[in-house]
Amino acid sequence: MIRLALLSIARHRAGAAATALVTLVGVVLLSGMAGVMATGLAASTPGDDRAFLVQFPAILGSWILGIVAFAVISTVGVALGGRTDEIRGLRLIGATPGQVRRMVAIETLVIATTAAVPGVLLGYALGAVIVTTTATTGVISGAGGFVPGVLAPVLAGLIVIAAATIGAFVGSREAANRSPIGEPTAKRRSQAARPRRILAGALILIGLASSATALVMEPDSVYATAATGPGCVLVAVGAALLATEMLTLAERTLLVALHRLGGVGARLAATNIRIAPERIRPAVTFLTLFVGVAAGTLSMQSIENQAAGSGDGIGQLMAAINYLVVLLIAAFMSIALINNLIASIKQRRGELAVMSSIGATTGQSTRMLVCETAMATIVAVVVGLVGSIAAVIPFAILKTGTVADAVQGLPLIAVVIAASGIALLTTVITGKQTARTARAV
Amino acid sequence: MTITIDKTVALSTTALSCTYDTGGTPIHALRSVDLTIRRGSFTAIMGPSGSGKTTLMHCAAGLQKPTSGSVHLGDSEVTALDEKSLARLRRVAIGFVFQSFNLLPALTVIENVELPVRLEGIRPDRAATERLLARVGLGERTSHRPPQLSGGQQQRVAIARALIAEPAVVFADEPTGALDLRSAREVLTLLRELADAGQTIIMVTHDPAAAAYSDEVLFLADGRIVDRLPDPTSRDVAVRMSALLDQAERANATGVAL
Ligand SMILES: Nc1ncnc2c1ncn2[C@@H]1O[C@H](COP(=O)(O)OP(=O)(O)OP(=O)(O)O)[C@@H](O)[C@H]1O
Ligand SMILES: [Mg+2]
Repeated sequence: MIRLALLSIARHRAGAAATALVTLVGVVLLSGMAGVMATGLAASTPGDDRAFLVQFPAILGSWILGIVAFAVISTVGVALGGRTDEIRGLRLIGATPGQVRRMVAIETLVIATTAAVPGVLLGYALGAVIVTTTATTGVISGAGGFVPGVLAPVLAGLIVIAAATIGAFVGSREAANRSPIGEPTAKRRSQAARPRRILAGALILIGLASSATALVMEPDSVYATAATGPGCVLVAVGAALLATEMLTLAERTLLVALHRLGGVGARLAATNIRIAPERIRPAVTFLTLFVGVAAGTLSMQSIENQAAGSGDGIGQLMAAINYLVVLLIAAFMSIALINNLIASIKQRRGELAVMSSIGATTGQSTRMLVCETAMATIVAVVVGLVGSIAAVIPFAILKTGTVADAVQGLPLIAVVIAASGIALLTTVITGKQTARTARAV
Repeated sequence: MTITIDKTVALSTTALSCTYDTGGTPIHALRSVDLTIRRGSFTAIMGPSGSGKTTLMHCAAGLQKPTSGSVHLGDSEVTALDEKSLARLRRVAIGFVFQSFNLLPALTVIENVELPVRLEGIRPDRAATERLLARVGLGERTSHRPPQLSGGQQQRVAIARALIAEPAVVFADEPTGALDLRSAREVLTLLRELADAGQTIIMVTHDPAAAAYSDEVLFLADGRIVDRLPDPTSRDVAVRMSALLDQAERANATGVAL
């Protein structure tokens, strides 16, 4: 089993690379946070610096961990989509779903461990940068310097490895449980959907509740930010989990528009989304997270600026942290998004070869793919924006007293442009290349 | 109903029915099929496309739950097993050979063959595997990988893998469908030899020449066993098949179900 797992990694390099990249970034971020926290706990650190140096990484670290697990689950799910035949063959000769999942978990364990080594080293650098920049803003004295020790960053690396491995075990559930002779029946599919829907609903509610607690706080309380930030993330994660439902809804409403567009690419795209929404679903998931988190956090910052003008040390610091969070999460989501888009387009080489063999031009094939991604982007942007605005409303009321201030034009537009730019550009480049090289054999 | 376990019977089905509900008119792929397969026999299943051959094999092997009826394999009731026990059944009691060879390209020939044993959590007996590979004519190619082998050779690897656990039954769905004439003949000769040595084999095929290697041919039409032919020659099989096809065509033309 272990040898099989190792051989699988070598054989499925693209999937392995995606998982490696996701865990690498996760380890960098989390071990960076761990280093900051260890500094906060170190004996040499002045007492006044402690509260910040412990609380800040604790809050941020738990977000990061959740997002890493989520990203690994999705990445593994997509990678396994391209290995249906192999898994079917294994199941046919008598592998249990559990054995298949353990094989995938071992693969991920090996990949994540490999990625964690450079990850922890880069994490040290990140931690040092955070502590020194915070010290220059004056929020902490920084007199104790950066003393991460060895234990905390390494422990963070191990936690991410464990999260990735468990994430792989969870993410391979659907692929491993599929019947060895065919597709799951519609009934089974909707059964699997129910716990996910319940979880999504719960996350959205908890997120909105977390945001709503801002209403009972003092306007200049740092905790309003601390409650709204996770609120945005939870709402975004909940919305992202509902990607399938959103796609179905969008397919029904946008179908007419796509058909009227007339092009065969648009038509095929609409059909593809209707028949196999699971192919484009990961893209919607990551885009929704990207848009939701980035729009939410940037809006908060924009509201904060509007309310307080350029503030004191604490305000500046919160701004810095907020931007850092957005940057990191956005970077994380773009990596996951790009990986997943590339993987899912490459998996469709066979389909593109068939299209080419019956005379479709590279342009027509690419347009089909671009239409699908465009649909995914529209869905994700709408859902992500609505979610983030809803999560920020209490914060806006608290800071400026007006609900309308929850809609911050500039940050929202910037997020939408970034999200659609990344998604469409990746699709055009990969799609063109794959369509051109996919020839019937 | 009492079930007496007859030691000479490898596999039996009782009133096996399978209906696909696809939204429109339900498709009756199997209609109350009663079947008894003797231990050590080589049975070929033939029938027009869509007559239910694959469905019968999938239900008999526990890959698919029938709508009603039961399947007994050795002393276990296949239709009553859960997913985990079914997987175990596939590891220890059933061997599969399919048209697409279903080998793992990353593993060597010998590793592919031993995989079911490893999945069972047992250390394989290298010498026994090598003997098995020699028996299917691949004694020299144990450390090659599937992409380095011809189609016929890959299929023989799949047959060796199907045999590794000394299964009660080997199921083969069009095992020669993707092979040229010579490779097909090699594979069929091998199956015949295995049957002569006591291995129970059930093979679905479209090819009368392939069916002629079996002990008995069962003819399936519209989900029912409509005919059987012991000690078949490829000529007899071809004649019966074309009669069946004519019948099916007439039924289609007049809109009357068979
Ligand atoms: N998953 C499915 N859903 C709906 N109908 C199905 C399904 N699988 C098979 N059928 C139908 O059941 C009938 C029997 O199919 P089966 O695959 O068993 O035929 P077959 O004899 O193996 O045909 P062939 O020789 O073409 O392989 C056919 O009418 C087929 O269309
Ligand atoms: Mg068939």
